[in-house]
Amino acid sequence: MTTVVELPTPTVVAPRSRRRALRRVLRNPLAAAGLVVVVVVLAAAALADLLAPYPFDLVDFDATLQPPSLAHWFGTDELGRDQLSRVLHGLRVSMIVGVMSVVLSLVVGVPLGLLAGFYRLLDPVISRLTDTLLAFPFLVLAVGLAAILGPSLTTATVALAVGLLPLIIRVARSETLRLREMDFVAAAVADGADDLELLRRHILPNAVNALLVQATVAVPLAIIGEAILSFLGLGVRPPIPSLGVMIASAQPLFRDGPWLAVIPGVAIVVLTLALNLFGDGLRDALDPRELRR
Amino acid sequence: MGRYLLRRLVESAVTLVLATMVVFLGVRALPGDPARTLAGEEADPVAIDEIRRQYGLDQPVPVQYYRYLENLARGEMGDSLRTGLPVTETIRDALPVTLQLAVFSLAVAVLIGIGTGVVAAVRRRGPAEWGANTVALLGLSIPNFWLGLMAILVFAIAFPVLPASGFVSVFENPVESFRHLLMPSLVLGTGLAAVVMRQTRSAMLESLSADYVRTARAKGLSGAQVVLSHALRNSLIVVVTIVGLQLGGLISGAVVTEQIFVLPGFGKLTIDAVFTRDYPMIQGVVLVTAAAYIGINLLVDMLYSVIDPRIRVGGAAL
Amino acid sequence: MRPGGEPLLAVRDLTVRFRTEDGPVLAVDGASFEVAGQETVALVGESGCGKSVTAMALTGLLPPNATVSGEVRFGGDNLQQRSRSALRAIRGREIAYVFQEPMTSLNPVLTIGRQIAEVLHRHQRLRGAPARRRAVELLDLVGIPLPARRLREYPHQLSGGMRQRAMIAMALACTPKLLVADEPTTALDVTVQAGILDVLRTLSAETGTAVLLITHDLGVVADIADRVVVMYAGRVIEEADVDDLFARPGHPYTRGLLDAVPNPARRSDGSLREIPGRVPVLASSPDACTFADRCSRADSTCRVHRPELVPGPAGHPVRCWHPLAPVVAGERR
Repeated sequence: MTTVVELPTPTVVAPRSRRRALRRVLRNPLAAAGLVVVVVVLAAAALADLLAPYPFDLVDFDATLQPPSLAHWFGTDELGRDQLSRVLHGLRVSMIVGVMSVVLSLVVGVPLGLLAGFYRLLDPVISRLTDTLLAFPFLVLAVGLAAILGPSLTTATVALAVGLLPLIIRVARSETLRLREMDFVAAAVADGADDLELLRRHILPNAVNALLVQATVAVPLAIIGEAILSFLGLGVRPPIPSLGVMIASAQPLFRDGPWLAVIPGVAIVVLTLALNLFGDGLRDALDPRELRR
Repeated sequence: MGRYLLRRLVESAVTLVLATMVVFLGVRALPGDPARTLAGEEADPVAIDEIRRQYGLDQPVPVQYYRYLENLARGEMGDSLRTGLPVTETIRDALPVTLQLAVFSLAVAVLIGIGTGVVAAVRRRGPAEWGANTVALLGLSIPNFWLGLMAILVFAIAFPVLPASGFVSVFENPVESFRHLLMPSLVLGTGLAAVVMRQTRSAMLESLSADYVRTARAKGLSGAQVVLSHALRNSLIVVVTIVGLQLGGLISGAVVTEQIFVLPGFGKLTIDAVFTRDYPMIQGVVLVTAAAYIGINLLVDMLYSVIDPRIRVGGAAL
Repeated sequence: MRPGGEPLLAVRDLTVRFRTEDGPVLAVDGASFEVAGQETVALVGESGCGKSVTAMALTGLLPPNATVSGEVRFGGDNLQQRSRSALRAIRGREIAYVFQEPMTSLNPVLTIGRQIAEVLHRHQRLRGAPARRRAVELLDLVGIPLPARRLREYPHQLSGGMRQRAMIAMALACTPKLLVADEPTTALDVTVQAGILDVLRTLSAETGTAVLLITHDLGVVADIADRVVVMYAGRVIEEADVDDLFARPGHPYTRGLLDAVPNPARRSDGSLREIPGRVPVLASSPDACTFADRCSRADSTCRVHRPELVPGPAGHPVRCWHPLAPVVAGERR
C-alpha cells in the first residue's frame, strides 16, 4: 500500500498537452489494451443486473457445486448460486470501493497536501500527522476501523481511503513545494494574486498530472485492499458478493470446487492488471523523463 | 550527519507519541462501554461502577492517557480478554514467527527484485526486460492472499509437496522450518519483489546513464564491474529507501499471509483480537506494529546515511 | 603531418550515426585526422559539432544506438576491428580519458583512492599496499596536497579543481600513450583552469603522453596545443599547426571562431562576436557545404557540391570552395 510513484519532471503542463498525453497513452498498445479492459469491466459491472444470467443470490439446490458449464459459465457454489452472476456483481463492488476510496482520499488529501506545501508553518504539523498515519500499516488501520465502525462496504471504503491518504498528501505536498518556486507563480504573485487564487488557479492545475498518476496507481491498490479486507471478513459482508468474500467462502471447498477460489481471483487479477497497464502508460506519457529513456 | 540523525530521532519520537494517542483514543472510540465489556454481559451496575473505578475509567481522559503511558513505560499493556494472559507476553510469543516470515520474505523480495531489476535495466529492449517487466506487473496485480491460496491448491493439494499450514521455528528444525515458510515467504515476498524490481530498474537506468559510469567504462572496466560496483552501488541508495517504505506493506501482508497459512504470528493475533473484540490485545498489537514501523524507518534512514557518503561525511556542499 | 613512421593515432573516414526516435542523426561525417606520439592536438568546434562523439568513438564508448564506420588506427592496430574485450584492455591503459564535469564523472559513493586503485588493478594487477603507494604518487604528481588523506575522501569533499586533478591522476595511472581530454576545463572556474592546463602540459611532456584535447575554447588551444583540427557539423573543415591556424585561418568558419574570442586588443568594444545561425543537425551527408547557410561567402556551388579537405591558399588543408587568402600581418581588422 505504500508504493511510491516517481514524480514527473518539472514541466508546466497545460491541458492541451494533457490531451496529447492521452493520445500517447492510446498509441501504447499495452496501455490501450488495459484501458479497453477497464472500460469493458466498468460497463459489465454497471450493467451487472442486465448481463448476469441469474440473480446473484438465487439459490438452486439442484445444481450445487457445478464445475463451469454452458449453463453456468463459471460454475456454481455450494448453494447452487451462479458464479458468473456473482463475479459480475463482485466486480461492481470492487470498482465502487476502489474508485470511491481514491476519490475520498483525494478530496481530503489534496487540500492537506497543498496547505502543507504552501504554508511553511503548517508543514511540520501535517507531515507529522502523515507520518503517524503511515506508522500504521494500512491493514492494521483497516482492522482498527473495522473494529470501531463494524465491517461493511463503507468501512472498507473509509479504511482504504485513510490508508491511501499519506500517499496523496505526499504527492500534493511535494508538487506544491516544487511549483511554489516556479517563475509563473512568482509572476502571479506580482500580479497581486492572493493565496487561494495561487493554489486554485496556478498550483493545483499543474499538480494534476502527478496526482492523476498517483490516483491511477491507487485504484488497483484499493481494489486489492478491498478484496483482502472482505476476505478477512472486515469489509463487505455476505450476501453482497464481493470477490474477496467469494474467495474466502471458497476456502473450505478447495478440494470439491477449486474453481470457486480460482475464478474470482482471476477476475481481480484481470482488472488490476488492466488498471496497472493503463497507469503505467499514463505515467510514461505524462513523464517526459521516462520517454527519453 | 549528527544533526540529521538527531532530527530524525526527535521526529520519530513525536510520531511515536502521536501513535500512542491514536491508539488510546481509537480504543476509547470503540462502540460500547469498556467497563461493561470488562464486567461481562450479566454484571449489575454496582459491579460495573467498581470496574470503572478499578481501571480508572472514571478519571478525566488526560489522566487516563497519562496512566496508560505510565503502564506502557513499565511494559504493561493489560491482560487479554480472551485468554486472560498478559498482552505483552502473548505478543512476545507471537513476534518470532512473524519476524522469521518477514526476514524470509524480505530476502526473497530483495534477491528477486534487485536481480531482475538490474537485468531489466542492463538488457534494455530485449526479452529479458520484457520478461522482468511482465513478472513485476503480475506481482503488483495479483493479490497475495489469492496467490497464497493458489499455491496451497497446487503445492499442498494437487501435488502435496509442501505443508499447507503450521510453523516450525528455524532454531528447532531448520529443514522443516524452511519447508513451512517457503510458500508463505514466496507469496509474501513476490509482491514486494515487484516493487523493488521496478525501483531498482528505474534507479539503474538513471545511474547507467550517469557520467561516472562513462568514466568507469573509459577506465576499461568490464561490463559486470561497471554495473555492479558503479551503477548498482549508487542505485542501492534509492532501493534501500524504497524497501524501507515497503516494510509497512510487509507487515500488512504478513497479517493476511499468516491467516492463510495458519501461522501463529503477530498478524494472526491481530485478526483474532479484532474478531473476539479483545480490546487490550488490539491496543497492544496496533501499538507494537506502529512502534516497529517507526523504528524500522529510523533504521532505514540511518542505513541510508551509511550507504551514501554525501550524508555520512560532511564536507563541501553539493 | 610529421615525417617518418606511422602516427600514434590515425583516424580515417570516421562516420558515426545515431538511431533516435526522431530518425537517424549523422553525428560525425567522414572525419580524418592524426595524432603523433607526444603531440598535443586540439579538436575544436561548437557544441554539437561531433568532436566529443569522435573522441568516444575511438575506443567504442558510444551507446548501442550508434553505428560507427571508418578506420581508427592506433599504434598500427585498427581499433574498429578489435573485439570489445580487446578495446576494454586498451581503454584506461593505452588510451585514457578525462571528462568535462569532474563532479559527475567521479562516482560519488566511492573514495578517490578506490577509483584510482580500480584502474591499477584492472590493468596492472596492482592491489593492496603497492596500489595505494602508486595512487599517492599519482595524486602527488598532479599537485594534490596531502595525497594520502585525499585517497580516503569522497569526490564531494574535494573542490572542483582538485576533483579534476584526481580525474587526471586516474587517467595517467597506467601512463597511457594517448590521453583524450574532453573539455577538461570547461566546468571549472577561470582561476582553476590555468592550473589544470599546467598539469596536463607538464605531465604529457614528462611522460611522453600524446593528448587529444577536445574543446570549444580557443584560449585553451593557444595555450597548450601543437596542432588544431577544426570540426563543423560532423566534418573536419580545417587542420593546421596552432600558430599557422591562428595567423592564417583558411575556412570562414575558423575565422569566425577566432573572431569570437574576446580579445580587447583586436576588437575595441571588447564584445564577443558570434557567428550567426546554429550548427545544423543532419540526417545524412549532404552534397553541399554544411556551413553554407551561415557563411557570407557562400554561393550556388557551396549549396550543391560537397567541398573536400584539400590544401588551401595558406598551405594547410581546408574544406572550403572559397577559402580565405592569407592576410599579411597588420592588414586584419
